[in-house]
Amino acid sequence: MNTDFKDIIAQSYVEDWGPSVAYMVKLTSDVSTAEEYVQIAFEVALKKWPEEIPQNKGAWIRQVAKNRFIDNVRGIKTRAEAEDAIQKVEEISRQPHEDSVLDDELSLMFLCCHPAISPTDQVILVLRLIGGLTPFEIGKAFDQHEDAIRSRLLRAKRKMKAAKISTTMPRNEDLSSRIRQVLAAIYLVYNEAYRAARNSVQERKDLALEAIRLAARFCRYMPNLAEAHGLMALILLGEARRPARFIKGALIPLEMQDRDLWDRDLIKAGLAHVQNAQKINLSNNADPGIYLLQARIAANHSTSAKFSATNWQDIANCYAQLLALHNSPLFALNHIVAQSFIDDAPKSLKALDAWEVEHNKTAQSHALRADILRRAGEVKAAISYYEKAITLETDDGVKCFWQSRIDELSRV
Amino acid sequence: MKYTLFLAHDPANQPEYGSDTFKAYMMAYGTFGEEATKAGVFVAGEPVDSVDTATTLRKEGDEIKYHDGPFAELKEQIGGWYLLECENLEEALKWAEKVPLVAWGYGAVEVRPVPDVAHLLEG
Repeated sequence: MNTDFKDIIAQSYVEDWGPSVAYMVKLTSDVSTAEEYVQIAFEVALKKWPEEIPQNKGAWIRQVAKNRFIDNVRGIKTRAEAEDAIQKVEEISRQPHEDSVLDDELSLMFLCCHPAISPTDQVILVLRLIGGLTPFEIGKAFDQHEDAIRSRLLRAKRKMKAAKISTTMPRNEDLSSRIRQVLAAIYLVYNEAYRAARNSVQERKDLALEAIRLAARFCRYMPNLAEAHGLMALILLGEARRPARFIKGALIPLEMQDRDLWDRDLIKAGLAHVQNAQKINLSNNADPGIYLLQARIAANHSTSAKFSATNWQDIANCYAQLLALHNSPLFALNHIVAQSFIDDAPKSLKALDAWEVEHNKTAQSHALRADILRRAGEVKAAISYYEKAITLETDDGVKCFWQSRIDELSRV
Repeated sequence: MKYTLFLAHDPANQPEYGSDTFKAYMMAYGTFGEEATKAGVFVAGEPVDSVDTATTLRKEGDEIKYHDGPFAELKEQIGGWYLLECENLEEALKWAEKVPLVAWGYGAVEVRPVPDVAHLLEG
């Protein structure tokens, strides 16, 4: 077996696994069966492709999966039952397939992200059924044993079958809430990649790539959905900053990052999706959604030559709009951060007081207070709040950064 | 496909017996039943009395023991059930959303598919 062939099959696996599982789910209405026969088809490909590589690899895989499934139906059912089942499969597969690949995939995406499945299991299902990751690979990314992933997959798939979760497209009236669910799951994949960043560079890079791939697919399924482009932009722009975000496992805050390390190609791609989303919103006369707003904030940072050149007014506006859509403590705190670069210290501290009354004091709120005081020249007070922040923080990289602030201030 | 809906409520958080809200709330169950029947979804459904009327049986050794009370002491109690015939889980969940208990915010509904047990009998 030469390496060329290995590359070809690996590439086909990445591209054709998801669409093929989706196709087989359509034919069999069962996720486990679909998965099993696509797996078989790839095993057949391993044997056959060294002789001749098919023109359309995806179509080949789907054909083999379908044929093997039909063979099996013939074997286990009576003739009449088998004929019925086979006729049904043939009927479904006669629908113009090449045009419907995207529809099949989209249905599978909705199935994986069904609201009756827990968010974590949604992510695992997406990675397995659409991304084609093995339980071992998913386990590595989630810092869990592959057996744990395998049993979660089994349970989720059993529920899908036992409770008869519909494998077809959601009804129109449910579409917008189901879309939100899918976007959230893709975002969770990326978040997981972000979280795992320090543990292992390779695994998280794979997971981040998977998130980009999924978001790109969703943009293809729903090219006129602004939030799909917003999510894609958010992930691309986040990924662009990755090379500067961690140095030897330590988190480097935005302010300290070496902007020359940011990936300009990813930034360019991310900005293009921001523009797409804005264009769609403009033509629909719609307001930006939560992903686009976060992407715009990221875009803002990505295009500032240096930290001191940040357009805080625009960022503060985005956070204000985010808060109106989703009142999260994190958005509220970040709004205060942005506003603190516009307002004077007393006003910012007052806003922070109010935040702490509502959400309690956290490491982040202490650190923000310290930073506002530092910028206002209140050295002693700033140091004491950095110290408070450090005692509450668990992340060593973050602690290290705050300690360096204290050291800096102590030298003055 | 059949689905059982278990209706669980917290007795401390219910409309006051005899109040206008209570009457309207009870009416809503009537409306729900009619709607589900008309749609051909309703198979069966009844309320059950409060847990202090419950008797639980369990075999201990050779003897079947009676216990004065429910099998599990929870804050939320089963107050009734429905058996619905639906196309798939989505349809069952849509009906579950309409159960007054959920729609009015007085409790939770747990939806469970009724498994096909014919193959179990065949052994």
